[in-house]
Amino acid sequence: MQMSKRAVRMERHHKRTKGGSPLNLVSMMDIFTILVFFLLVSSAETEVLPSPKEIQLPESVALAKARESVVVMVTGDQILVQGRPVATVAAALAGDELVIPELKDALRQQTDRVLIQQAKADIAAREVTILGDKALPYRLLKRVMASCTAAEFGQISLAVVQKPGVAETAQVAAL
Amino acid sequence: MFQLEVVVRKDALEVGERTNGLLTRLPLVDGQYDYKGLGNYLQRIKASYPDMSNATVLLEPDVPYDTLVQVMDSLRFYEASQERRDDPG
Repeated sequence: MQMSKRAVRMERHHKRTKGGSPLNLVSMMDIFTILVFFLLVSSAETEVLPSPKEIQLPESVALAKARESVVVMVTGDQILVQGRPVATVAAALAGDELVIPELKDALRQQTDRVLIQQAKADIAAREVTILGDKALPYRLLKRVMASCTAAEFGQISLAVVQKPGVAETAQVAAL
Repeated sequence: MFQLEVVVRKDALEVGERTNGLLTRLPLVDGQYDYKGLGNYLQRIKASYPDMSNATVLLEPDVPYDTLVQVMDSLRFYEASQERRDDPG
């Protein structure tokens, strides 16, 4: 059968490319190497503070970097210490007591566990970071702070978001 | 000793001194606290008392956390028009 010139050309082309093009290993290895470095670098910068969806931190111009410390998170309905729920907000606000006993106990346990390497006797060096929602009433914040003080934490930091981006903490100036 | 106090009320920001009482009262501007006015006023106080570096923030129970942070910012930093200067007072 007579084939057109174009059909002949096409067939030759198909024959040549049969079996697919071989994997280009060099560029693949390049990309994987870059990927490995990227993952190494990005995993090295571990987040000091969790950034949960349910709370919206206030914005601030504070520049101090967040340090490794015990984290108390106050969401709309729960109080969490190191990610573990310890008390409900409703219960914390219920009594007349300024100190929230559950929170205080949980923080006491943290002093025994997490900060064991840090100067144990030095109360002033013990740090706690409070992550609170923007709308958190001061009434509750005061109780959380009082509980931190009662659990012998000398430094309380308030987590804020730096005006554009990154999570930071501001030192409590006065209380 | 000059003891600066910033009181956050439901309807205003008040700057006071522990023994002399109220110095100024900054009412809400468009339903918002007047942080800018507070910064300007504190800057004037700082000019007269350059050594002062302490302040106490007093809040009403229902004041949101955000307001505390903004007031603390106003106390710690002052935004100048030309350059941003970190002011520890």
